[in-house]
Amino acid sequence: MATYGIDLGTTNSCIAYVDGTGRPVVLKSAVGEDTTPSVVYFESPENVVVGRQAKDSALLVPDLVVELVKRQMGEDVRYTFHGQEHTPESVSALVLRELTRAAREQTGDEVRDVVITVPAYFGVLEREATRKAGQIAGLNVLDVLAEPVAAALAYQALGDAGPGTRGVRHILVYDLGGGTFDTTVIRIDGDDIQVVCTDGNARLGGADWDNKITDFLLHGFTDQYPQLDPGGDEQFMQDLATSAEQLKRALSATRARKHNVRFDGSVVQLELTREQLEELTSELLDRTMEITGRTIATARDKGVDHFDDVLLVGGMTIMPAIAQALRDRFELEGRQQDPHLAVAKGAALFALMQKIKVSMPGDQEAGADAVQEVAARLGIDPEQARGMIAKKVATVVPRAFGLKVVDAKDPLSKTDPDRARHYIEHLLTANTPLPADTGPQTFRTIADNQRLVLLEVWEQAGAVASAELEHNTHIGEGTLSDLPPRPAGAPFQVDFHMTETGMLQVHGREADSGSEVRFDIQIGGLDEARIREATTAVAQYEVSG
Amino acid sequence: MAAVTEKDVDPARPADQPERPEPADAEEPAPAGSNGGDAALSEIAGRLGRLEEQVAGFHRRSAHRESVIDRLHEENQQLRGGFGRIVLEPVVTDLIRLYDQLSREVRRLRASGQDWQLTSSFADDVAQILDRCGVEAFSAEPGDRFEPDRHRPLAVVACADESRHNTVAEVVAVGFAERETGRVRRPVHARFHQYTPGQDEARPGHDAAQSQ
Repeated sequence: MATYGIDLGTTNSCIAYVDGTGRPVVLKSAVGEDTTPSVVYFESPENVVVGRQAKDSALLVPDLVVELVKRQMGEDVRYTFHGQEHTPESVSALVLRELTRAAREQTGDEVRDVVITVPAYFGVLEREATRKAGQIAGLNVLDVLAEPVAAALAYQALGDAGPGTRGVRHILVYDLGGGTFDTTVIRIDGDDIQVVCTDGNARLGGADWDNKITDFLLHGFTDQYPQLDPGGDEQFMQDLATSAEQLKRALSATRARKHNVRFDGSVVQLELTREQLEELTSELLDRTMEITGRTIATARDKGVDHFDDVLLVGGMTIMPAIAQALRDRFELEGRQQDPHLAVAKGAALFALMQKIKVSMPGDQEAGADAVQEVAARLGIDPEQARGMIAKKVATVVPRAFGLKVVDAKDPLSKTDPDRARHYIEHLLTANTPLPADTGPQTFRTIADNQRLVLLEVWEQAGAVASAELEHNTHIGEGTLSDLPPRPAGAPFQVDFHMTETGMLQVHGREADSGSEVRFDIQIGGLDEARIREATTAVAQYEVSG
Repeated sequence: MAAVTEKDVDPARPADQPERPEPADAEEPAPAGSNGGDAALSEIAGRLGRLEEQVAGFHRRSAHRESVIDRLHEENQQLRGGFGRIVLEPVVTDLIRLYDQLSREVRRLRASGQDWQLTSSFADDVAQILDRCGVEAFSAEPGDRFEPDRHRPLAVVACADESRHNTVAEVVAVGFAERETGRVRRPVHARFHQYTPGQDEARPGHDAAQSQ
C-alpha cells in the first residue's frame, strides 16, 4: 500500500514516500539528485526528456522545450510539439511520469496513489488542473495539498495529540525556494486546518542570491583586469555560476571563503565573508521581510495576534541571515528541518493518511485495525495516528461568484432595462470554505409580465471583488422560463452551491409556478473528453530523465 | 487506555498490573459461585483480555521493529559499499572544476606559443586522480549529433549546411562519467551548429550566435 507525495514545483519537483521505517524519504531522480527540474523536452514524436537534460537542451531546441508551466496551470494555454497539442496539465503530467518512473526504479513498486502539493494561493481552478495533471499521468490523486500545510506536517507542527484536539493554533510558514518566495499563515482549530492568508513573489528566490555572488566575483576580477572581458565567455560564466552557488552554501556553515577567479592567464584571489554576503543580498532579504510583514499584518486583521510556530521552508532558509532577520524584525523564532525537502516529505505523510482515510472500512473494528496499521508503520501511538488521520484541510472559494443584475436605482431600468446600469451581485465570496452553499437568495423581475430571466453567472476577475462588470468574467448562463405573468418586482430564488472540486451548481426557482432551472459550471480546466485525449497522448511517450 | 511502549512491559508482569506485595493477612478469595467470586473472575478475565491485547500489540510492534532492523541492516550494507562515493562526491566536483581550468590554461598557453607541457602534466594528474575515484573522462567529436544525456550546449554557432544542424561544432570541456554505473557526472560542454538559412559559416568559438 505504498503512497507517494509529490512536490510539483515551478522550477524543481520532488517525490517522497514513507518507507518501512515510518520515515518520509525522498526518492532520487534518474541522475541521482533529490529534485528534478520541472522542464520537458519533446525530443521526438515518441520521446520526451524531463529534468536537467531537458533544461540543458533549451538553448539548442527552444521550440521543443517547455518550462515554468506551473505559472500557467489552469489557464487556457496550448502548446504544440511535433504536431501534438499540449496543455499545462499534459506537460505537468509528463513531469509527474518521470518522477514516478524514477521512483519505481528505486522502490520496485508501481506508483499509483499520490498527493500533489500546490501553492497556498492556488484556487479551485489551478488545484483542479493539478489534479487533472495527475489523472493524465495515470495516477490516482488522493488529494491536492497546500505546500505550507505539507511542510507543517513534515515539521510535525500540526499538533497530533489525538482527534478533536481543542485549542486554536497559528503557524507562520516562510518558504524561500530556488525561484519563488511565499509566506503563509495556517490556522489549526481542532481537526480543521485552514490557510488564513498567503502572500509572496513568484520571481524571487535563491537564484537571485546566486546572481549577486556571481556579480561580486565577476566585478572583483574585472576591477583588477579591466582590459579583459570574461563576461562574454560562456564556459567561464558557467563556472562562475556554479562557484557562486557553492560559496552561498559554504557561507551558511563557515564565516569566510576564498575563491580564485582565473581567466585568460590572469587570476584574482577573492574572499567573501558571511557579513559581505549579507550586505550584498540585503535588498533581497528586505523584500522577503516586507512580504512577511504584510502577511503578518493581514493575519492580524483576521484576528491572528501571535504565532505558535514559525517554520522555515525551502533550501535558501539555511542561510543564518534569514532566521536572524525574522528574530530582529518580528521577534519570531523560526525552526528548520530538512527545509528543501519538507514539502515532498509532508505530502508523503499526508498521502499515507489519506489512503487510510479513503480505504478505512465502515465498521469500527476494521477501522481501528487500519489505524493500528498506520500507527505501527509510523512507529507512533494509535491515538496520535487517529489524530493525524482526523485532520481536515479546508479548500476555499478562490474568487467571488455572482449574477449579473440590472441596477433598479437607474431610471432607465424601468423604461429600457437593456441600457440601464448592470452590475454583479456576488453570492459566493472569496475564502468561503468548500463545499459552500449560499441558500436561496431572492431576486426580482425588472419588467411587468416578464416571462423569463437570464441567469448570467460571473466570476471575479481582479484581485479584489468588485461589482463592476469589467472587473468580472462571464462564465456561464441558464434561463429560468415559464414565469407567470406578474407585475415587475416579482420574486424568484437563486442559489449557488460549489463542491470541493470546483463544480458550481446553480439552481433558479420561481415558487408559485414551480418553474426551475439547474445548470452546472465546472470552474476552468479540461473536460472528461479532453482528459481522456490527453491521457492517451501522454501515455504514448517514452519518458526519460 | 494509556499507551504502553515495549520498554514498559515486563514479561513476568503485565504492565498495567500494579506492583503491590500481597499483604500477609490477605483474605482467601471468595468461593466460586458467590457474587464476590463472579466479580473476581470477571476482573481476572478483564485483566487477561487487556494482557492479551498488550501482548498482541507487543508482538506486532516487535515484528515491525524486526522488519525495520532487517531493512536498516540491508541499507547499511549498501551504504558501506557506496560510502566512498558519497564522501568523494564534493571532491570529485572540485577536481572536475580544477581539471577544466587547467585544460583551459593549456589551450591558452598553446595558442600563445608558450610552454604548456608543465601545466598539461598537472591536468593529466588531476584526470588520473579522478580515474582512481572511479570517474572517467569522455568526449565528443565535431559532427556528433546532440545527445541530451551526454552533451550540454554552451552556445550555438550559425551554419549554412542543414545536415549539420544540432551537431557538435566544438568541444569546450570533456565530460565525466562514473565507471561503475555509467552515470554521467558532468556532460560534455560544447558549442553546437545551428542551421541558419543564408548564413555564412561561422567559426566555432568565435562567432557564437547565442550563448546560455
